[in-house]
Amino acid sequence: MTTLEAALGRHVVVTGHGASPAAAAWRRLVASPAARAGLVIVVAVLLVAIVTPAVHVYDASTDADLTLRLKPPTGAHPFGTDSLGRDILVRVLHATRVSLGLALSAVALAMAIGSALGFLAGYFRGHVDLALMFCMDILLAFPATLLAIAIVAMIGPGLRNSLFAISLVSVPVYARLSRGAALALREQEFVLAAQGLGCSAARVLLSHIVPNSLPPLIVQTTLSIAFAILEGAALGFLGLGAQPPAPEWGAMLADSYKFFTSGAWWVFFFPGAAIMLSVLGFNLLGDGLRDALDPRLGRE
Amino acid sequence: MRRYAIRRSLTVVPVLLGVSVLVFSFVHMIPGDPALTMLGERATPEKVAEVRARLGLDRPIWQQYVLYFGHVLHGDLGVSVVRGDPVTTDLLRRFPATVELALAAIVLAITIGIPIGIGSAVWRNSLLDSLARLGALTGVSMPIFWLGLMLAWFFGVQLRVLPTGFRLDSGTTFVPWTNFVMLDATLQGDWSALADALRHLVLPALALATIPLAIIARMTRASMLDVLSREYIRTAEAKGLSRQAVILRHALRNALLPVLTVIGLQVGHLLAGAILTETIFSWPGIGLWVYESIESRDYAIVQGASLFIAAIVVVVNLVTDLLYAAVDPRIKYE
Repeated sequence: MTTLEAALGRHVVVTGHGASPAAAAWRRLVASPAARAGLVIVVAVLLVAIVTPAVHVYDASTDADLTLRLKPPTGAHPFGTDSLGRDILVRVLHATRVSLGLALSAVALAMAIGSALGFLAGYFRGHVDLALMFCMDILLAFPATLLAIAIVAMIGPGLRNSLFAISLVSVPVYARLSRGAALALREQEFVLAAQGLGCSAARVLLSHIVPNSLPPLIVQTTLSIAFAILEGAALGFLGLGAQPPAPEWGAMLADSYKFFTSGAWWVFFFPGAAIMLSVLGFNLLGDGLRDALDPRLGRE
Repeated sequence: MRRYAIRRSLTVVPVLLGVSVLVFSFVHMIPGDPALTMLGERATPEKVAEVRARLGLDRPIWQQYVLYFGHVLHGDLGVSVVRGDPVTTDLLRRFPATVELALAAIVLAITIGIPIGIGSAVWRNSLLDSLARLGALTGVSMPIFWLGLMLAWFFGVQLRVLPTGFRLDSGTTFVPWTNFVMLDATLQGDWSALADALRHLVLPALALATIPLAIIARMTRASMLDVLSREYIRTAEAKGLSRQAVILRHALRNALLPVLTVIGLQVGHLLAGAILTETIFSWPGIGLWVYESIESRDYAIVQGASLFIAAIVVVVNLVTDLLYAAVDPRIKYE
């Protein structure tokens, strides 16, 4: 078939002949410059989140120095200082752990709950499916940002409540995705064969349907992390996420945005740039993973 | 088509009911006594009792919902706890500002995003395509509140060419009729007010347009690429039609169908994004109102605005689906 397609001049995807599917996907991923850039950014952001607290202890109570208020970037303070004289670079680096931690935990929770619901709905169908998908449709009727803001506004500000809200608004995407995968896979012959051999529903789901649904879920998770970072920052910016003096990118922007008329651009530039760069990294990686994990899509 | 339209329209009813249940439950998510939380610790017991009675918190929960839903059906979204004004009145007074901003943003997103998407697909893998794709990906990765700040700082503070807040200059004598300032200025023939309104609109609309613009450009590119690989395009080219005619008459008309759906989906993003954009630019719409009400714990406003926006999103999605079905007769209800 490959020869025929090549003879017809069609696009032929290199699948890494002889390699395992994972190794082939990895090879396709690193072959794309955009995906490589995304991978580098994501690894760098993860390293900053892990290494920073290990090499530098942040103490919010001793951090402020009012004699150094709103100083522009210098050698001593490469990102300048904020309205309380705190070093912005130190806070941006420490905020990485908070912002990324929030996004990763929220997505992990959403994926666990959403996928479980979706697999059950898609596999068992019937009333369970109808009821679950109706609930998901209701959640999807709200713009995700609005729903997250409204929920945290009600249950109270804070990181834990933000995590809950971001997870909740991310659940429907996973539920729909895994339901779709389960619906498609439950009619496949290998699933019918497993059922015919007497496998329990749990075993069919866990051993056959879930592993075969992983590629789209992995892609979605990467893109969801990008979305969750933005949502977390938006909540922080509105005063609903991390509370002062904890360093978090969105909350740092909230602290600083009233100073933009004074010309102190550095107070909001660096936290925002950190948000954008990390979101861009996960988006680039997500797009790259989508191409790498599904060779049928080809390279656009 | 008619059958599809009726069945699709009917699906909206249970969703709107579900939305109303979720919004109703917002008050019950408040930890502790919602009335006490809204009024603060210094509230008198009489005032707390009054708010509890007004919210129906002293009744069984199903009665509370029936009461709430009955009020909603009569257009009553409750009363602001802080100012005592009906939420619906304030909502309708502020809605035109948000509509004006959202319309400006979506017009910007469409007029810039579609040509970029077309160019990107037609000159695939060129430098233009690479730049457009990177630009679009950066656009969807942009925190719009940060972009808004940067725009306000650069154009408003550094260059001093555009205002950074409100809908009109503070010294203006212009009195709008409907609160759609640009429409009112046009109707009244007040061109200086129109110019002033436009200058105030540029930065918030640009900030709000970024994400929809990026999404529309990406979708247009993907859809054009799909259409350009079809047999009928090859046939059109083989007939000797000019490249321009093939792209504009044959490819674009078909490629824009999925883009239509994506544009419909942006309405929700625009209304939610307005909370962040309006906060940055002190734009007196629903978004800024919600932000202020969160700060003052005026939950009736958060509830009312959420229900209103969700209802708009549901209706716009319905209209988009119906439009899609009208232009594409293959769509059927399954």
